[in-house]
Amino acid sequence: MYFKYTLNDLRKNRGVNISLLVVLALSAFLMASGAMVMERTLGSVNALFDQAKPPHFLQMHKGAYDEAALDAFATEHPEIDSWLIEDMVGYDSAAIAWARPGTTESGTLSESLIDNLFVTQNTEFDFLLDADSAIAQPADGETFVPVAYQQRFGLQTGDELRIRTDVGIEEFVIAGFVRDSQMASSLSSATRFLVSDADFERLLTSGGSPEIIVEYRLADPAQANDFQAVYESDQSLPKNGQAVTGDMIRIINAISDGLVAIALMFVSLLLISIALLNVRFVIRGTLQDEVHQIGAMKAIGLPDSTISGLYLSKYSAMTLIACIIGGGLAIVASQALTSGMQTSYATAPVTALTFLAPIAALTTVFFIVIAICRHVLRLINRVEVVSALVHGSTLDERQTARRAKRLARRVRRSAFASYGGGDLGRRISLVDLRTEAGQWVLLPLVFLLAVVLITLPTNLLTTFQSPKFVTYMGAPESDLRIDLQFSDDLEQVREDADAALAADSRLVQVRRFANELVETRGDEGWESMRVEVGDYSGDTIQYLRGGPPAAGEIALSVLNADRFGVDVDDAFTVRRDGSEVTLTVNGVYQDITSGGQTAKMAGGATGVVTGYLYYATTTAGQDPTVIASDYGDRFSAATVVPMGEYVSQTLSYVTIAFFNAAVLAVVFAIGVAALITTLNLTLRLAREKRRSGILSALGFSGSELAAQLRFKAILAVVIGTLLGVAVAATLGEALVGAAISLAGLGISSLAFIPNPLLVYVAYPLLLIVVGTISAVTVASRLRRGDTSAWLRA
Amino acid sequence: MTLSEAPSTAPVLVRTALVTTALEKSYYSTEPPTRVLNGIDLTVRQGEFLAVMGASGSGKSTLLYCISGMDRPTAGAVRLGDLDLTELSDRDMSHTRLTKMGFIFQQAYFLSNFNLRDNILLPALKAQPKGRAEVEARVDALLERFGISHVAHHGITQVSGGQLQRASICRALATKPAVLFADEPTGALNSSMTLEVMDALTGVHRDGTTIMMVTHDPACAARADRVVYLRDGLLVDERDLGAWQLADTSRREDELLSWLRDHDF
Repeated sequence: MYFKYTLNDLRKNRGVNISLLVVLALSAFLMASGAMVMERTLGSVNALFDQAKPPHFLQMHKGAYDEAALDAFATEHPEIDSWLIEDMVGYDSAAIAWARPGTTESGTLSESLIDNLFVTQNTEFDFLLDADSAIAQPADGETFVPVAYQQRFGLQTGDELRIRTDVGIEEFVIAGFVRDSQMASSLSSATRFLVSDADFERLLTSGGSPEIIVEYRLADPAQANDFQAVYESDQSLPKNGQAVTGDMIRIINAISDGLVAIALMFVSLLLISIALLNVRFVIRGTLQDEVHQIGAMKAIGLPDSTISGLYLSKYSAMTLIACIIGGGLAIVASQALTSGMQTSYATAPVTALTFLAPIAALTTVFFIVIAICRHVLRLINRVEVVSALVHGSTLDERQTARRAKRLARRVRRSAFASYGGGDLGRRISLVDLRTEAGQWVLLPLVFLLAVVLITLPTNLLTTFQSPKFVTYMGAPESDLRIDLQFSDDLEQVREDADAALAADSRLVQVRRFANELVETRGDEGWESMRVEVGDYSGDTIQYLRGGPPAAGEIALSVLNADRFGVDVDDAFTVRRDGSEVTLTVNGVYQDITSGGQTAKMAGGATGVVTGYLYYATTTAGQDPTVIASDYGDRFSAATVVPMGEYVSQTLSYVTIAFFNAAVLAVVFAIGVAALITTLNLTLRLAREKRRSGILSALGFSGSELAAQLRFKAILAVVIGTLLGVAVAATLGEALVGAAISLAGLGISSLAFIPNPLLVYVAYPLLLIVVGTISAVTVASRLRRGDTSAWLRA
Repeated sequence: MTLSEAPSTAPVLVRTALVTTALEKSYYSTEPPTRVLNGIDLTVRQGEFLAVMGASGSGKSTLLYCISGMDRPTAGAVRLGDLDLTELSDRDMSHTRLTKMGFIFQQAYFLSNFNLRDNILLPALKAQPKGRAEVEARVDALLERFGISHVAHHGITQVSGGQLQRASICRALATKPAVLFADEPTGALNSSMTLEVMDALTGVHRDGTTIMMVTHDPACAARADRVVYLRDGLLVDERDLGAWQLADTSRREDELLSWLRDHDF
């Protein structure tokens, strides 16, 4: 009986049922896709980690170091499972070119801003893996190039790679592409090329800049943070570069691609809310429409559970079909979404979780929908036979009386009391909206959610794309960034750069900051901390609390302030050049660079300087790109980049993820808005037949009735959209900010940098236009209406 | 059978309010299509109270809906004064309905979001948007006349069926229509309420309003000047009863009943 009823009903109300099915299927699809992408991402990252065995702690370093001290340190610390020193040699991107033999295709890697480090394959751990996840072993004359470059520059196996060194051109054949567990993410500032031992020795002596990574595998990887403190408290160990723990590597890797999954889940949650609102609306409407039938079933003695079962079977069937369709689509979509990811990482092995994740997601969707259906269907228990059969009402006598009283109170005051001869149709519509607010609330709610859905990913995208985002990277707003990294003649280069920059009329506001290693008191005694030292007066960095440091003061990044448990006005002791200085914490700022752990001090550097950073603003009409390449040529040891380029390249992975999420959100929001508006108004039309009949009989034309429906729908859409904009701008920012803060990137308070014209004008307008088109389409049916049929309805 | 336009012996000029010519209506949703009106020629005189009777399914209500433009006839013509209603656009037909026609239905169709007085004001304000004071005065006078001014600001679920039907009459008259259409106006009322409503309609007719009423109830039809009888979509007979007088009530009812019996009613 249930099956037959379900089939008949699905056939009878085809339009409504199909719309509902589509919304449910989309919800299921997104939820399952999110779960699958999440599982694949984590699986890929884990698979890569299993094979590549990345270090649990690593310290980069440039310049001389004491190898014996490292040996001694390893001997003293039994928690070290294994360790190694990886020698690397860096070449500037502009010095690396590629060509395809037998063709005219060629190019350079100069667009890339990250460090290119040539290495040999490790023997203990931290392996670079080829496409088959095997440990790549290049022969002499061969090189393995990072997959990120394969994708970016369209490189192929067999291409030639030419490196311009001080002694001539070194030529390599690209033998394959390697996946790099520690430098796979675009948040990483370097990437590794694999060459043979003999080639490496030659590159090392041909003018490249040598660098090392000291890497440790620990017996207990969970101790990585403690180990870092221990390492940093040892004065004799090399540490003038970045220090990274395995957790950080893992988080950064997962976040880059996990963002897509999070975005999908977010979209699906909003969509499920919309679907549930709709299910509730449709069921209540259906019960109202079929109240005579329900009354008759009760009259012949069918128990409430059987009657509810009839309806529940239909919605269960629909939800099940939706979950199957959604799940099927999710398999296709997640494959497309994760194919790029699996190139960078490893192919995740298929485990039980691979199947369980989407199934759990779909099951969740199914049970949530069914729970809501059950809840709404409880209405059937309260239907009284006489009320249903005689009055066609789902309400019992007491409820009817209460409703009548409420209505009577509402209508006591004349609806035309303030009517001055304007559009009567609008006046009636406004009264309808006021008295039937409960029935009209769905449309504004859906548009509210749609605006939130459409706005947040775009706001995140524009925030991460904005040149002002540098203020989240601990840098002032500027046009040019010059990075002088550690070299033996660092001070000489700095002097030359100072002179050149000061004499350059194309630049103003040139600021120089020194990267100094100071020591702070940690759990394990004195630990190293990188501090940016310079003049912060007139600084444009946004401080979360407090302001820029003056003499005797220090500003800390959010993560550092948390780590040391200090805040503005607290005392903070550092050791510079052997002597202790007590400073006052004057400011806390957000920074996502260097693992979020940075600090700023005013004045000149007095201790160990590991490099310099310059920020400069160009004068009007000057192109930062031209100036950057000019200085890049003059100072080979410097990395000179326009600020916009620096931000976009560093964050490219994240922004691409946000871009995809934003496009997806816009498409879904528009589709769902159109679908729900049409579904909702179609149901309203059916429910308002009597009203249409009365007004038509009284002399309102079909066009006038259509205008009334349009007016009500568009008003509801506009109200919902405007509320949505307000919610997205206030609550939305707080929500996303909280999520970003939880990610541990170093941003604890995210203020959107929106594109106001896009999110506050174009998007709302787009949604309103979509709502309007749907409303106009549905309302046009009223023009062809049949008054007598409406009245008989 | 011919339906006369005016008694041949009377030399007085009689104006026609409404004329239908060869009016047909078929519904194509059934298989085969159902022909409900089979070519109706009918003339309603100005100021006349015409009752339309017939068995269930004879096409009475359909005739009323087709004449008033709420349903489009399949063929034939309907003239209201100088207007051919079947030629009008939806917009013009609606305007004609608003300004020249009034309706009373078996169920009192009212908008539940408005009180009784607002429901009555609505069509009148639409017909005369600039004369609100005048419209309100007219509506208030109607409420007073039909004895429902004390419930004017009540919700439509707070008043009796009789009061609601009297409000229907007020609403229909608020636009000063040329013709008043009533479709089983007492069909859902008890006998005392029926009497209330019929007294009200008779009063309206006395003031000169043309009324076309569809009814099953011979007692109600006995109030009319003329009764026409429909069978299977055809106008098969008519009976001129003359002007109603209270004293004549039972005689007219008897006469009508015997006439109806001839038609197997």
